[in-house]
Amino acid sequence: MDHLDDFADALVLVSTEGRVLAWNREAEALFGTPVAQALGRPFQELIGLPASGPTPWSAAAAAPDGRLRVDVQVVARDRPPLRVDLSVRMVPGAGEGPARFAICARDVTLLRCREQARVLATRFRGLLDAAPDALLIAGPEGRILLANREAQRLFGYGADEITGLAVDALVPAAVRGRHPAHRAAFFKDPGTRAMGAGRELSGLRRDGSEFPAEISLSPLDSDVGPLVAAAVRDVTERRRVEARFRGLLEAAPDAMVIVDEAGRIVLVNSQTERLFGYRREELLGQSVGLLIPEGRRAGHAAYRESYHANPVARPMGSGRDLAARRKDGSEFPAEISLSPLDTEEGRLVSAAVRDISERLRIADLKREAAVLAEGRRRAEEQSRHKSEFLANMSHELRTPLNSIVGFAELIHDGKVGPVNPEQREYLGDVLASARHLVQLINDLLDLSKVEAGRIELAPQRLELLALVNEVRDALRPLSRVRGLAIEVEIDPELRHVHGDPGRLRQVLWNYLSNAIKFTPEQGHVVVRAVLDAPAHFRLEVEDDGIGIAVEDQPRLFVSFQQLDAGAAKRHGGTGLGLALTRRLVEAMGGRVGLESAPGRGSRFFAVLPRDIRGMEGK
Amino acid sequence: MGQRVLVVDDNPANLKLLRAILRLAGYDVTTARDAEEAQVLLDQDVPRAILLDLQLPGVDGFTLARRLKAHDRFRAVPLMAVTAYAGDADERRARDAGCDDFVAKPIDTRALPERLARLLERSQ
Repeated sequence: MDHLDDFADALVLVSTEGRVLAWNREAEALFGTPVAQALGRPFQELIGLPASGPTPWSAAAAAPDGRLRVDVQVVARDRPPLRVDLSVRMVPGAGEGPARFAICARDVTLLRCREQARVLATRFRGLLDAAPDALLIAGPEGRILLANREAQRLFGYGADEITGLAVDALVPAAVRGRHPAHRAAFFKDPGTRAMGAGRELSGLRRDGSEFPAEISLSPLDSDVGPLVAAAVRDVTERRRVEARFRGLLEAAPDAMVIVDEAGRIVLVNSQTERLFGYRREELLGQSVGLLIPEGRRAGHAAYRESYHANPVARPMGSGRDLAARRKDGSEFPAEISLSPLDTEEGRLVSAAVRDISERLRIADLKREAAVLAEGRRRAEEQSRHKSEFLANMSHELRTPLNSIVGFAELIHDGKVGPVNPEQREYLGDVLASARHLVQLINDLLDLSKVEAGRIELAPQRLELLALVNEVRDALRPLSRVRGLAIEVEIDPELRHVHGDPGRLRQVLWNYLSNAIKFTPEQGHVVVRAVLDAPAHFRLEVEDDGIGIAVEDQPRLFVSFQQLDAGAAKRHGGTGLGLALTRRLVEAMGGRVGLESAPGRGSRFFAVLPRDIRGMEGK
Repeated sequence: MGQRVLVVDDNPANLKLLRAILRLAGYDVTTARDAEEAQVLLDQDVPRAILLDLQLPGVDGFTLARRLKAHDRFRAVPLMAVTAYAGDADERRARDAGCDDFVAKPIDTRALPERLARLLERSQ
């Protein structure tokens, strides 16, 4: 049957069952199946016709002249669909053999396209060319029947070139494989649809370049059968704007959530993912209520409505107490600013959300600190007032005391004239009382200074032994009257210390004068200085007096606490001496203490740094 | 006649006491109740020493001390502060103002004459 190959058309010979008996070279080209594979196979199968039902040849057999001419859509394997013109003629069988059918097939796809295009063009051309978008009309075979000027410009084809072009030619190679399935699905269930909602679509230009596209499809019924109209929009510019917008969003320090009028999340930045703990995919398309504490959602919906009715940019922190909700359900205080965004998709609202927990915490701390500082300031002020008051009192008291003590002394000493023994004794009592008063004033003044932290230390290198002897000598009149022996024991290592001699003298004076007062006549008192680790020394005054019960000891170093009021009167203590001593020692960085038991004497001590330089007065 | 000393104190009793003590010690005593009165007396005569209360009505003792020490005629005259300002800080202020010695009230009537004598010795 080699002569069949000489024909310019595709020629096929089939049996009454439609099995291929002959298949020329043109048929191979048209239907995409080599002759070796075609022979013996059902023709319907090879050209994608339904396996059962009437076939062109059975129709031809039924025709009076045994001929039939018909247009069919041929969907051969791995090929775009074609519109093929089939001429079928029944050929009687050889002898008694069954009839056979000679089929002459011609590809009329382009021809039909042009015809349809012509029909469509006369009807729609003017309309289409006026549209700003690229518009294409294609048939079920996926051939472009009509493309408006904008489509030609967009894809880079001339009017003649684009008509009849396979739609696949406008689809980037990467997705071309899936395209026929999409098309088949569309024709099975035609309806208007926007393609690429949320997906990136691209168009392929003639020069091979691609562009991001938005495509919407709608079915079109026409004289020439069901068609599809596609509007294609080049969204390069918009994508660029969006990319810039996204960059802007990402650059924002706050979580940015863009919401549409229905409250659906349209766009978020990565700060939003971090702040709320959701991944972007979990948020896009969801209600913004997801980010709002449950208790506040209802209020939010109402608020959103009123906002849409009157959208104004509302800056951060306009005094509203707002909260937001993370994916894990936890909530955080938030500051939210809103601004309307008018876009092609309608009005959106952009919300910038900032977690202000840290700021609130700091504000709380600051408030607390301010309250504390204010309290401290007031306390300091009070303390200062008290010190000033005491200083003034001291001054005011000294002035009259000066005349009392002075004149009493002059008379007592017989400087003004002779005094008899009784007068002298009474003047002595006046002097003792007045001096007690002076001591009280001095102690009070010192105590108030220490308490106000206004004591000033004047450290210097001093000889401890000399200082101790000086105090002992000053108190000798008192100790001699009571017949007391005072021993001094100073560790040779402590020849020199750095201290405030005035304060040290005061401390020792208080301890020693107490010991003298409270030790029975002919008693024994020792002043001792020993080393104390690490860089301290212990100055102690030991007596063999009446001693002090343990339970009474804590009261000793407190102001105006005297254990035996009678003894105090007898001995002229102020009740401030030990309290002042403790404060002075502490101001010098040391501590005071007492070891005593009733009937076994007492040992008062102060542990002091051997060098108080560098210490601020406290 | 003994050496002349000027005592400045606004309290009449204290003024009287100091005059008594110093006279008993053999000094010739003039007294002033405030800085202005002192100034008048000082214009007439330069005393051997001045005992100065620091709290005075009007020009206070610190100021008077500074003025005297700034004056050629009085710079060499020993100044003894005799004051009810008894603190360490007060003593420092007084010495900064030019006082050569500092005695806190109430004064020790037995020790004061000796103390003045030592001050005069030092300033010779």
